[in-house]
Amino acid sequence: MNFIQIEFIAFFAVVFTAYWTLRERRLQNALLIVASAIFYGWVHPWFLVLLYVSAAVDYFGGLGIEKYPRHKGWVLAATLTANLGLLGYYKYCDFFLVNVAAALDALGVANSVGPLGVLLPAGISFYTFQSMAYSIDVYRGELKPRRNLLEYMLAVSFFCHLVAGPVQRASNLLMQAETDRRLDWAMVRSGLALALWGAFKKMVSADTVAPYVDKIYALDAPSGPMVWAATLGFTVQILADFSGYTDIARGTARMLGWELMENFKNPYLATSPSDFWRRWHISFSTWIRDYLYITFGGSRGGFWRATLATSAAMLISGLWHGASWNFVLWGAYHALLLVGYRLATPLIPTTVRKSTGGHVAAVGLMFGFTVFGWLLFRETDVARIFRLLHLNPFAATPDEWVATVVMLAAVAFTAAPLVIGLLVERFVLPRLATSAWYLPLQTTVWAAFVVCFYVFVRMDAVEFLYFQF
Amino acid sequence: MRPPTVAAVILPLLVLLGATAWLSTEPARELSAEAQTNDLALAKASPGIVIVGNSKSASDIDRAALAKGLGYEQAVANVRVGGSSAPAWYAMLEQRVFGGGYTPELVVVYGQLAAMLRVEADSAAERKGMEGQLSTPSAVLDAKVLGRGAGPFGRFAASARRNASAAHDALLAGVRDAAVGALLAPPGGDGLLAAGRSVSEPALEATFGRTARFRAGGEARVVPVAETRVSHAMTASEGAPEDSLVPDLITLAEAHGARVLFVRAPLPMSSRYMDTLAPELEKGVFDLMNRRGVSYIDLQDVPLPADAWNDHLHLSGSGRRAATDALVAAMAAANILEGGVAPARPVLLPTAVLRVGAPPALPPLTFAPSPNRACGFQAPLPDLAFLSNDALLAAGFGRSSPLVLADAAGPLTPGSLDRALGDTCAGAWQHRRFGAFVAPRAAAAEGLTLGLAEPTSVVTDAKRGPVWWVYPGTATEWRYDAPPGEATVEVEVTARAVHGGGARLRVAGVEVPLEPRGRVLHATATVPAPTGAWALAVAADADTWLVVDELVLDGQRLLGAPPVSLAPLIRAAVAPPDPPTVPAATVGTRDALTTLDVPDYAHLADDVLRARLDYPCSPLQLAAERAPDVWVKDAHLLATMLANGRPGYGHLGGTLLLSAPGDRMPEGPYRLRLDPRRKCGTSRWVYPGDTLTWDVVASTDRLRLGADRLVLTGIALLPADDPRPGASIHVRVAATQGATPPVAEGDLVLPATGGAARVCLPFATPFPPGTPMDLTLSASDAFVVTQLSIGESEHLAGCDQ
Repeated sequence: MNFIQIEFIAFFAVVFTAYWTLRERRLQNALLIVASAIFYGWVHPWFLVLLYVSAAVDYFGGLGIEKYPRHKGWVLAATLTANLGLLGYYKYCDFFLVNVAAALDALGVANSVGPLGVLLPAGISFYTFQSMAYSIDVYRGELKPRRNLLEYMLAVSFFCHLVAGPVQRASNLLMQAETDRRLDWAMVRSGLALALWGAFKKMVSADTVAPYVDKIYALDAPSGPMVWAATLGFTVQILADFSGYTDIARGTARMLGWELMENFKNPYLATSPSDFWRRWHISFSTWIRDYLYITFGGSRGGFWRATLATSAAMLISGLWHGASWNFVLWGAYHALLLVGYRLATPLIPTTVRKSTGGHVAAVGLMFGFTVFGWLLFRETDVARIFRLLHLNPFAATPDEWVATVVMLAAVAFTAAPLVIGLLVERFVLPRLATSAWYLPLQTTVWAAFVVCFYVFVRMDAVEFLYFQF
Repeated sequence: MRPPTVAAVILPLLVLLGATAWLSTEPARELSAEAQTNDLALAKASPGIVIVGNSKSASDIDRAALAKGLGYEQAVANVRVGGSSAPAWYAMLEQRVFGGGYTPELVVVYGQLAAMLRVEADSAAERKGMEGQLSTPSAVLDAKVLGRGAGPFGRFAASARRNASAAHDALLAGVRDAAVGALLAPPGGDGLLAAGRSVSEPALEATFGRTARFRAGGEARVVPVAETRVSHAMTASEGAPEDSLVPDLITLAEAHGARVLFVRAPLPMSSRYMDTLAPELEKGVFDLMNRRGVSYIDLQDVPLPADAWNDHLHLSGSGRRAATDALVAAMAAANILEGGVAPARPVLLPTAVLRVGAPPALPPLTFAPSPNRACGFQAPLPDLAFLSNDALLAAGFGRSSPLVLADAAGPLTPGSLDRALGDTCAGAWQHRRFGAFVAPRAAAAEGLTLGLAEPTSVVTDAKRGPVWWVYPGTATEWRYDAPPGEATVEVEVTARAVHGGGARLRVAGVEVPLEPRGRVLHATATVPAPTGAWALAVAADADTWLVVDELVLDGQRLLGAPPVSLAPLIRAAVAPPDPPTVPAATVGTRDALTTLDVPDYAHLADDVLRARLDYPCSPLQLAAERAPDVWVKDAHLLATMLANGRPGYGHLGGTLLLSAPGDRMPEGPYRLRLDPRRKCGTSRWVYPGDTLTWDVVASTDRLRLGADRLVLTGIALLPADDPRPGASIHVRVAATQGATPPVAEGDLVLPATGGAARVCLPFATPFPPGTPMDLTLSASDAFVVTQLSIGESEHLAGCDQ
């Protein structure tokens, strides 16, 4: 099941009603566990087995770390091995085998190595990282191991964030699982507004621009301008899609009295790569920072150590996004950006950096770098990536220029709601929030959203992009 | 309650109510050009008889001759939608005929029986054809064809989906066209969006080809109100006649005081597969018609002259005359105009089909391990090599071996590819010419037994469907518990012997041997109709393995219908050469028409082609620019176009005549060309100097018996001052496979006057089944080829030469 299926509306309505009817936290938690099992097991019930196994490994691992402090390193290693083993098998096994076969073929070694066709369980990248974070936090002494298996299972399997994040920290969710919740209509209203906005971004912006992007990327020989226009379209699509999903996740969780961490903060307004990663997929980038970058030494060991740590962390980030070399390339590209900016920033006078013009230029430059990176992300064939990069971005036939303009028009149309949303959030809402007419304006906008959903929804609705991870 | 709180409830409700009102608005309907043509045809004179159908209803029936033959003094009108079936016919009848206030006394539903039973409109063309006839929604079509719920809620859901889709598409198209119009379109007076569209659509089609349309909308909506149920299909072997539109057509006509006559249209033998129904379905349809007291006439078996066909579907002039005469005779015999009924013939279904006799014992198998295979075994089968997969495929029987190799767990998978064998214990086997190769499940060859398909001897091949075997020394018997209604029973059987050659047909105790006829065995038995229970059987001699291809009882096909094969027989191998250039034409005027003199092409004019082929298809075209060509070409419609202000042109004699309101006449100089696609309706042009080459797809079921002749139907077109009675077209058919690939080559002469002639090129050496071929036509004169067939002589009948 996913958030934009009609079944989810009915599902959530039932869960919401039952949840707030049950006043006791334990019963609410039990209901959420059952609901999460239904949500996640909707298409493939056996996916639940993997989820619970992963959760159980870290739950008991946490207890083991506490019970056997002298061997806590081994216990942690075991839990990480188990989680990474699951992730490695289901996500990277075929990738590994295909590359081994290619290498053997290149060496002239006869082989019958081939992919196993393993099905990738939805959300495995997210919940394994979440579970590992728990074990690591317990190992580091930052978190006490939990003794309530059900509350722990709930924290891992909570349907609002399970399939595509945000990658929650155990401390955040566990605390909420252990805290009584009270129905707060203001919170429900806020959650509903957030969820509807997320659905709007997904269905109106992301799903509208997606077929345009797909058509151009599907061409055997697109022209340079078309490729870059489509990449610009993908820039809009991925933000609208992923932030839309996150908003739905956070909104629905908020309606149930849970608060999930913010995952996006206007990432295309970033002034530098490090700023970008403080704004994009925040839950994931902070996980990478806290559990990989810092573990690899971070910035404590000097420039080269920091560079190595950055590179390793970003390569793993890339690989996390998909079992394909283009994602590794994308991670490497962002590592290069981070290191490059680290080197270049001191060379720019502070007055320039802090000026308005400098800020705008920084935003524009970083946006350009981001768009370039999305081409590496979108095109999975590495050889084709280099062919596309060699295209003259200004050379096209008249018909192709028309197609480029059409693509850019689609970008403008689908980006407009995001820009309007940003402006409303910054300049209008602060003024309106205390007005008595805010509520009628809000409900009217919701009604308009519902009408837009009906007009824009597609029968062949595009899956959320981050579901593939 | 405070005003803002009230507003918080009222305002969104108003938004939702407004949206609901908008979504429920019935979208504006625009009648198609065909609907307008139908309206004109009906308006000419209030018809007493209306013929409704697809293009065959116009090509196959001469309305004037029908009326004259029946002595009918009122008008006979034809309403049709090209390429359509029952959904469009119902739409026409409901809304153009009865909805237009006409009250014919007889409605003739003319077409293929399968088309009468269709409740699908799943292609864009069919959907458009049907909806273009509708001025208002049709409850019957909404429910049965479009799967829309009945009642107000169902109608709302359907309207909502359409309006939402239209809005979505209009918005996206508007954004697209506004951007292109503002930035790239040349300045013009049509407005920004129109200017943008005129540039964007061709450019996108050129860039993206067939996927150019950025349609992210669609009919179906992911909302709870209703999902469009794409209409169910009634194929030739499933569905109930009551679910078709046949009862609705009858009800509709009767409600308006009209009687109904269903006429099954004839088809050439090579196209019969398109209209083959299971006997059970035919019986159901005919029983339904008889229960409702409507008439049914079948023109399938009307004797037709050699040049009866213009193409694979439509009758020629002489064919139309024959079909019309037959229809007149049948209608007169049943007194249909006086209220008589021509009932559908009863369909006799067997009560049982079973095998009589014991199949032969098969030789025991002695398996030895296959070398270099982890789990493979092999055993010789020298006496059954003719049943091997290779032999059956080569002989055109497909993957239909009746042999079954089984272990304790059941049959092994037959005919498996090499990969499955030998390396894994996959429970599979293969019968090659030199024996059986097996990878048993138990990694051991013990316990494997060889048998025959039981309890029935029908083996289903994935591509060919059921293959009816008759094992040596056995017979397959069809038993009936009721006598046929006629005085005699005629049974015809066609079979092929995979091995041996002795077989017999038994009908009600009378036995007739099957005799060789070309590559097949054939027998016909006509016996006095039995009384009481009776049976017919096909029996094989003790050494004969037989496959029954066709069994026909009193014209009703019991089994072995030509397999459905929609694959085209031929496809162009290379792009055809550029047609000859057309010299510039002299421009003049005649009355209100602009004329272009093209004296060199007078022999290709619409009137010449109408006379010889019954339809115009001059190859001359006014070359269109990137904008769609809105010019309709038909000389005989010029007067109508002039009256209606529609642009059009025709080719009469040596002159093109152009009609258009003044501001729509294209500016000169005019560019003329010959149609590079060489289309002439469903026929093809061959221009002087052309050498056209096609691949012949050997895998089509129509060539399952191989090929021993080519039959070409067409006409030669020569200038008026050319004295020759005909002209020759050179034909070459060359096999592209085999040690010594056979070639058939020759010159076929087609007449320069009269209708299409059918001429043959026999092959000196028959081509075996499954032989791919190259076909080349080359000409020094102009020809129209209306039909071209390659195949076994048994399936191609009648050559003028």
